[in-house]
Amino acid sequence: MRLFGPEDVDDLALGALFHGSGGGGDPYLPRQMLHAALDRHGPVRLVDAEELDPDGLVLPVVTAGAPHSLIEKFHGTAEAAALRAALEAHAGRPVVGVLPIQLGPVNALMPLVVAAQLGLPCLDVDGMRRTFPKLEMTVFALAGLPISPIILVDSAGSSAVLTAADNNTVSSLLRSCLPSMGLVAMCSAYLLNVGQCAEIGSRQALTRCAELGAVLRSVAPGPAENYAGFLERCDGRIIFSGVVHEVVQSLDGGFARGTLSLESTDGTRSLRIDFQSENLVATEDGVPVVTVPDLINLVDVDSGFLLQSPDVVVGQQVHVIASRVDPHWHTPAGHACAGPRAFGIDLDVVPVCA
Amino acid sequence: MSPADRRVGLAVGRRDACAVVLGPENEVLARAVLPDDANDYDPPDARPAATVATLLDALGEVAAPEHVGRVVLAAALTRPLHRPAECARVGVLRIGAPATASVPPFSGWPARLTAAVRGPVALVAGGHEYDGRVAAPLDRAAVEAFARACRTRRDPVAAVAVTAVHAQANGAHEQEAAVLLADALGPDVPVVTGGDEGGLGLLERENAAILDAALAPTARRVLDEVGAVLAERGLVDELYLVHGDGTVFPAQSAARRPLRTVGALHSSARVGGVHLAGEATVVVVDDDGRRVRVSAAVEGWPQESGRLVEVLGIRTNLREVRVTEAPADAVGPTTARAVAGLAGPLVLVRNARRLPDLLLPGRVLRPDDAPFAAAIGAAVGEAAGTVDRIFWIGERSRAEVVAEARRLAAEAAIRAGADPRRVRIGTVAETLMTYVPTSCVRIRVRAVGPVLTVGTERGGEQ
Repeated sequence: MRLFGPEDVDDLALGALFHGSGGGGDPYLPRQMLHAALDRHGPVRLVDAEELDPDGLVLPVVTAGAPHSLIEKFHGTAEAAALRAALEAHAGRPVVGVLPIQLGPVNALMPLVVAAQLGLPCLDVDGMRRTFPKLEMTVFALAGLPISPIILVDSAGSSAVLTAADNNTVSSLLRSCLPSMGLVAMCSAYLLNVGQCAEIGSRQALTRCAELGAVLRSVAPGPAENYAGFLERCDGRIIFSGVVHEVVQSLDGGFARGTLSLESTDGTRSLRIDFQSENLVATEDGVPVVTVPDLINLVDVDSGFLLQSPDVVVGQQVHVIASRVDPHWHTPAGHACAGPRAFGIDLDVVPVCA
Repeated sequence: MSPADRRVGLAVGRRDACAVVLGPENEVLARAVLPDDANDYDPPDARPAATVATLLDALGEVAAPEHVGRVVLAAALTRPLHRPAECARVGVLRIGAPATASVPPFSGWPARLTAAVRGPVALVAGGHEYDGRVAAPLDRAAVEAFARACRTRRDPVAAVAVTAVHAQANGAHEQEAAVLLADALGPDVPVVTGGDEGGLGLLERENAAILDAALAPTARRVLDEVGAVLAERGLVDELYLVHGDGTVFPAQSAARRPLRTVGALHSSARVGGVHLAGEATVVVVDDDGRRVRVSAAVEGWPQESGRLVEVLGIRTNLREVRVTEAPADAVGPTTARAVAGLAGPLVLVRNARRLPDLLLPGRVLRPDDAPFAAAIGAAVGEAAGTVDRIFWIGERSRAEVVAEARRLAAEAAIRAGADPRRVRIGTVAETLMTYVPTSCVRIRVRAVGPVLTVGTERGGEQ
């Protein structure tokens, strides 16, 4: 067990932004939220799964919704207790700890906010090892566990408990609830006990995420050479450096899709990045060079900041960092669950070649 | 009688100040710089009115009131932020409870500034949803209780900031609360609302509204003093201020939103540089005597950084212009990096024209009037309006929604002073809602146009 305090927030937020792979929302708001929760309630106990009763029920936590709506209408202070009460009522037993499901700029921090508010420990485990847009894209689902029940609560006190026989159905029920909840809800999914988290989940997830964030924070903004130490640490490489030439977005089957076009500084090479919430495919001169489930990040050369793809502006100079995702995802089942075809792109997985 | 078709541009900075008079074809008719000993030991921007008086007197008859249709001042009205004792105590009202309670106002602010600025804070029920419908009725009783707290404290507030959830989708509650507060607190307490203009993000809008409210009484006093200096010389026509993005806005707006003048000096130097270069895509290298800053205009629009302006670590809703600071020993490489991907020439303004060619990449322009670039940029600056919010598409087509956004941006530009017949609309940036399939789009669009000057014939170009 270690205590997670205000001094740990920035490293975790930056590491989580990297695992957001160009999506997951801006970390500014969740950082403020976590600072406010730690100020009010004190540090959070961050625990390994072995430290809790293996039969104890965990409270998985994500914020579901559109990041652009979240920054307007963010959480109050009552949702965490309502979510806990709803899960305990559904399961018929008490919760012993909070579980992060997604390593992303919002959702790596939100479980710590909830843990602080409820006085519960937070497990140093997560279910994705990065940000994916769907709750069924987890190592828990890969292990065959159902995502039902999904529980949603919003700031006005509305709530829903959703169950279905299959993951697709319950996931679409979730999306159909969100517009009535102002496009923002605090959400729980999966019925998991501590033992399953220890067995299936990614261990030391928040600790390693924060360590990566600390390394990235020590990089001085500027040329590609500055990133050498970080790239070694994240098992990645800079696949392109250049200027953003065009940003296009469109609706495709209800989901927002976008394309960034980059040109190298000398004008001889071009890179295209397709994103749908997160970056999915990088294509150089017509050839895909890296795809999901590996991570694709854009770094602003001026500031060293990692960028959210929908917010990139023309003229920005960027490095594109491709890095290896957790090995859980480089299996046939992992590729089927979270490879390009899971996003409707007819391509085989192209992993980062180191 | 000759038309009042001249404009006076004034640039009042930290270390120096200058002024120009431009004629109808933007020709420079007169120039003035502040003598080194003009303000005794104070920097020129510590006493803007005295500096303006000195500059106007130096311009002489060329700036006589019968010729001048407009006076534009580039000066940052944000000095008190670095001297918290000069900031006003602000009452902060947020509308949207129980949502947003997890992050209270002033989160992430420096302690010294918070201690000086923070008055009564209240989070009350009300606010709207992303599609403009009412989330909860406004709790008028709570707004009135907040007003009483602002009035009856032993240390009463000098200004109030009001911000409501999704006020840009529907500003009704913010406006209703502002009216209640203005009635309760009287005309001497400025009520700044977050949703007037600017981007998405409740905290960013609230931060900007609080900062504006904290600066408003000082800004109003400074602008009244400048106004008095103008009036003494018969220059009773409109006074404009330069916005941090290089456009101009009326002094009465600046008195309410002084934060928008942050970065005004460099931005008007950039606008002046673009004007002097006579090309639409230009990289401006600006040396104000202390630092070298490089920024660019692409097809006449300032290049953005993609970030929001932060002041003392406080994030605001103002979009940041991309400015690269060059260390004196690395102006060349920094400039080369800033220019990457742009075709235009470098134009060197203010002290930067002293930089040797050797250090600089590409085509270099050194206009004669470069030392006056900031004053020229103020005088030629245009008025702008920005829209940045979520639009609910519903039964409409995307094109209809985009047309609405363009219309709103044009109207905002006209309110800022732009000539309605000559408003141009920039690129429309559409961002769709990620993670949730929904019929909403975030649209960001800017409109600009030359300032319509009172004193010239309004129907002249028909």
